[in-house]
Amino acid sequence: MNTKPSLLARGYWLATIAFFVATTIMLVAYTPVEQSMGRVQKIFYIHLPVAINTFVAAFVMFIASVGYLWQRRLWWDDLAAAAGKVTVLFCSVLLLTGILWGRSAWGQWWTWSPRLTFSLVLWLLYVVYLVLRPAIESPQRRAIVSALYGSAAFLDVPLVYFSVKLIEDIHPSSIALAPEMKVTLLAWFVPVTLLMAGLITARYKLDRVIRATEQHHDLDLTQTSTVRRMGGAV
Amino acid sequence: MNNGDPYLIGAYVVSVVLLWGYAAVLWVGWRSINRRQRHES
Amino acid sequence: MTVALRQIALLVGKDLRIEARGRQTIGLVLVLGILIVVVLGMGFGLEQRIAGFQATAILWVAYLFGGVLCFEKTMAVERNDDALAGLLVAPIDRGVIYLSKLLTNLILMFALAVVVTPVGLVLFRFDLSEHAMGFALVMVLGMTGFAAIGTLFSAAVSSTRLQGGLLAMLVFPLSLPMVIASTLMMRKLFELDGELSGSGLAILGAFAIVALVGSWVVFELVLEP
Repeated sequence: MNTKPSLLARGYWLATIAFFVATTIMLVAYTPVEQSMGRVQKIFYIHLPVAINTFVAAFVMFIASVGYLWQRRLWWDDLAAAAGKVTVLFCSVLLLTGILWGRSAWGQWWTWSPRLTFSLVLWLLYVVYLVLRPAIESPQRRAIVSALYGSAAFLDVPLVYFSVKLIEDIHPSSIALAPEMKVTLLAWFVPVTLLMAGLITARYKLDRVIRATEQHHDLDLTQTSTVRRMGGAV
Repeated sequence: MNNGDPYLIGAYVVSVVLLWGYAAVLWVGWRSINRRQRHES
Repeated sequence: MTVALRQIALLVGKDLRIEARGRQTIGLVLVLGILIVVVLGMGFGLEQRIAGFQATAILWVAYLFGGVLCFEKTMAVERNDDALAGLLVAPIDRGVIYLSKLLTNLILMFALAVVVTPVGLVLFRFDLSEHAMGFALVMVLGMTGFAAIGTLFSAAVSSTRLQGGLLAMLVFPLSLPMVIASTLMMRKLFELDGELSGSGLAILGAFAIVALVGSWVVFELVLEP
């Protein structure tokens, strides 16, 4: 089995790195400083794309969970697991950047504002998904329970959204965006989205290759089997 | 130097460490898979 | 339709009769509920009167944790003597099994509330008098959604090793919208002496309906041995 990264994969990740570096430079040199909030407002340009991509990853996990419940093919479960991990990763970044921004803007590490509470609940929902999986031994049982929980968690998100809206928002934070700011924001969506999609794909493929390799060893096949391109993204 | 700067830098570092750190973890995983393949062939 | 209702009544009756004979689950659940009320109530200070919405929070915790225990036990009953296999072989719609388990759980949780609430009222002079009806309504709505999810996942994890802790871990995050909405409403009701928020009730209602319908539809996927 050839698992070396394909040209596409190499190119993809090089591009992602390049975009990330470029948007960082943009953030430092090009983006104007917002009047009322100062330089720390620039966290926003990372924060919002990360937020959107958290939802996209969660949505992928939802589709994969429903897909497993529908078809019972384990690759759906693998996809759900990979997407779940990336969701928690991005949600952690979301939560931490939100906390840091809040600390700078309001002087406190934590407030139960709607936005922060929402991020926290989202994070908890998906962290539980990660902890749940290793707790079940049988792969089929694990897949079913994970798929059930994964679907339920995503359906829960709008309910969480509406419930936190009941909390009084003491800190409204809609700001007017100058043209350069809009450009920066859109620019940041590129590397962040590429990262999200790339990480899910890489995790998914890696898990499947690892499992295939282990099964390979279990079957004790010693000859070099047919060379199959795994087409791996790094 | 604005007061908010350490938090801005902190947020950036956190993002880079988490996002690219995970990418690095996956990259290491792929490398060890490749090494195993090479030793077998 | 009436066949289904009769089957539900039969199954619930069976579960309650088993419960009445052994009194295992209800005993555990009541003791747990009372313990929670006592421990948390003490935590708020032994000599101080506990404010309305603090009291509701303590009672909530007692109901929710007692509830998880109920869910676990009512599903565990089916693992004795292959009872579950017998149930699955009988010509009963899986949805009926779900509804009967849900109803059993709700009855047990209601029993818990009926016992534990007066305990709190007496021991710590909880003052629920002003908004008792509001409290009851929010509690009924919230518990229904909670039990709907709990019944589904108790079946999902009942064959795994970790059951109880795992069940709590699954059900609580999913129920957070309900917890947020109900605690905010209790605060508004008791601390600010306001009214029940319409949007809050809508959220609780939506939660209960989505949880109920979703769990009922999906239940049969979970019943594989």
